[in-house]
Amino acid sequence: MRRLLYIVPALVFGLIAAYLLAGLGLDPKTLPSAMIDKPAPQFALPALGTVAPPLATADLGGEVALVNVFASWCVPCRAEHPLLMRLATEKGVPIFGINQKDKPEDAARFLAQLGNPYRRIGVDANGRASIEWGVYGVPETFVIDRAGRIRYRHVGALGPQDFEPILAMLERLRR
Amino acid sequence: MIAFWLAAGLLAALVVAALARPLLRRGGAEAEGRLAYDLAIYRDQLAEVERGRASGEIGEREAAASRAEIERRILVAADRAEAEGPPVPERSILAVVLALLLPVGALALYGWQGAPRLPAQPLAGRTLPAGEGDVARIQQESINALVRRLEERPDDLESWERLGRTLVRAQRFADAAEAYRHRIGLGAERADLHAAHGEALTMAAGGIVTPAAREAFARAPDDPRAMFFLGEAAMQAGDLDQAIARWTALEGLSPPDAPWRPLLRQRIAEAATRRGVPAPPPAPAGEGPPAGAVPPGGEALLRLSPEERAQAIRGMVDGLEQRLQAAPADRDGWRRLAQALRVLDDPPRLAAALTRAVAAFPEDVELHLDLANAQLEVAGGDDVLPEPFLATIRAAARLAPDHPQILWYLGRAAADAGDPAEARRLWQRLLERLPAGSPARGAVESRLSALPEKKTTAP
Repeated sequence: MRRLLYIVPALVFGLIAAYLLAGLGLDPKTLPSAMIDKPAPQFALPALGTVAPPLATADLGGEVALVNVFASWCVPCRAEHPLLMRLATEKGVPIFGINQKDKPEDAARFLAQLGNPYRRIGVDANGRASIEWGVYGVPETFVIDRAGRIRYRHVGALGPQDFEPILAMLERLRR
Repeated sequence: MIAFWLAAGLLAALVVAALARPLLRRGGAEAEGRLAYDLAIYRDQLAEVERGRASGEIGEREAAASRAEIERRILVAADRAEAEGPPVPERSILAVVLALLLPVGALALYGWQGAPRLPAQPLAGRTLPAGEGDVARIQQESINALVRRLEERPDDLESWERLGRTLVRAQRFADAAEAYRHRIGLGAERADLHAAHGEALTMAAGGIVTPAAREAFARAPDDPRAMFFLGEAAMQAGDLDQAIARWTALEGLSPPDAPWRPLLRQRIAEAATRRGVPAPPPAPAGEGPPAGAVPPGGEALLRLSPEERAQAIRGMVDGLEQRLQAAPADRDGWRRLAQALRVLDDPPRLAAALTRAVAAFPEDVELHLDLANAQLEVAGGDDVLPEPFLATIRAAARLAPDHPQILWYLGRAAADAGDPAEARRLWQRLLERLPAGSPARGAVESRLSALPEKKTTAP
């Protein structure tokens, strides 16, 4: 009987391992968001120097747009940046930026180096607005429809394969 | 190499010995020793009891009880020793299996993860005996030297280029980009400079092809590096079709042995996977032998497998060689033969053929130089200039005394022969003939500055 007791930790370990293993197979990008189909949260953020005008809730809606949460210290943000540049310059997609927990001079240098795809940028120095948006981490991208509702949420960097689907979704929402 | 295997074998033997020893010994000598020790103690205790009984310190009954208890313990100890016993067969088998498995497993692991084919690097033969710190120090010194030089001569094109290259090697990409930008601003632009500038900008941005980098690459449309990074830019911007198209085009233009081919293939495959389409097959243009290697009417060759192709070329080469032996006054024939022999990578035969070609056309400088290059290749490099090579170069010098390659090697021969004055004169003449900004200038200048001031014997 005493010996059987030794199996208990192994059993507990096995259970936890199985649970985590199952979690590995899940795609974190499909995390459901409580915000989907809800109006964008109320926020008003100051501008990033003279780089772009400030961003507030009132600026969203009227036009199908993207809201992208970024930071200069975030490496995946660099990787997705050329994609945003192309969406903005070639496809004319309105993109609004939320610059999260960043130094303004770093963010300005980041945009000077990689280009600025954002029409407006809100500086979210303490990350409060990002919490309102339910942001887990940078980068994150939201699709906003003409009514100013959040229609889609992409966690993590946009990859080259996401370009066409994003465009198609924007096109669908415009109709 | 032998020393490595000896050391590895010795270590493996030590590990096996350390593992097998307790397996073979346990229950043997050790257990017996413990039993003997225990028995000695119990015997002492028995003697103690006996003495106590004799002196009347303990009574008869207590003595008998103590004796019984000690004897019981003796039996238990003997039992235990027997149970552990001498090495049981399973243990020996385990030891043998370990002794076999350990070296075999180590070898297998090394073959799989290690680098058994890597040539040995004996200390004496290493070209770079410098440690990492030394490399950084040497880089810093050469950066400092270049900066000093540029402070004196801020329009020294060559030094700006070298500064850019050195800064890239030192991983200071933003500074390197700045150096290249400055160099390009001084004029005499070249495509490879724009490509290098773009690459430095890209590396400075952590591998992201920035708009500025893309602009730089766009100014070097035919440069392989620029073509590669423009594909990368398309990929990063989500334009997978354009990325695949650019990379496939570059692959088609690349020589079959271009070092970037595997990387290119990998990137094409990755882009195709992301796009959800099959990767286009390797472009055929780069797959075949370079244009010119195929004799007229030999297009069918391209459809053959590589082995069959080499076989067919060899057959044609033999026929051509025989024909030229009979009628050597065919300059194009010799050129074709030389080209084919280069593809077959047969320098001795190439040198022999070109010797006959030079005999047939003693006034053709290019044939002389081709022969000289083949002779260098036979000798395996130009560290030491071989005698037949020098003879060819001297013969060519009578025809074209101011040809840059001839001036270069005559200068080297003079320097090797301990005549720095003559070497300096030849290389000065060479410098006058090299265009500003030519990469060869740097090599000549560094050789010139390394010449001793006075006439000395050859090193």
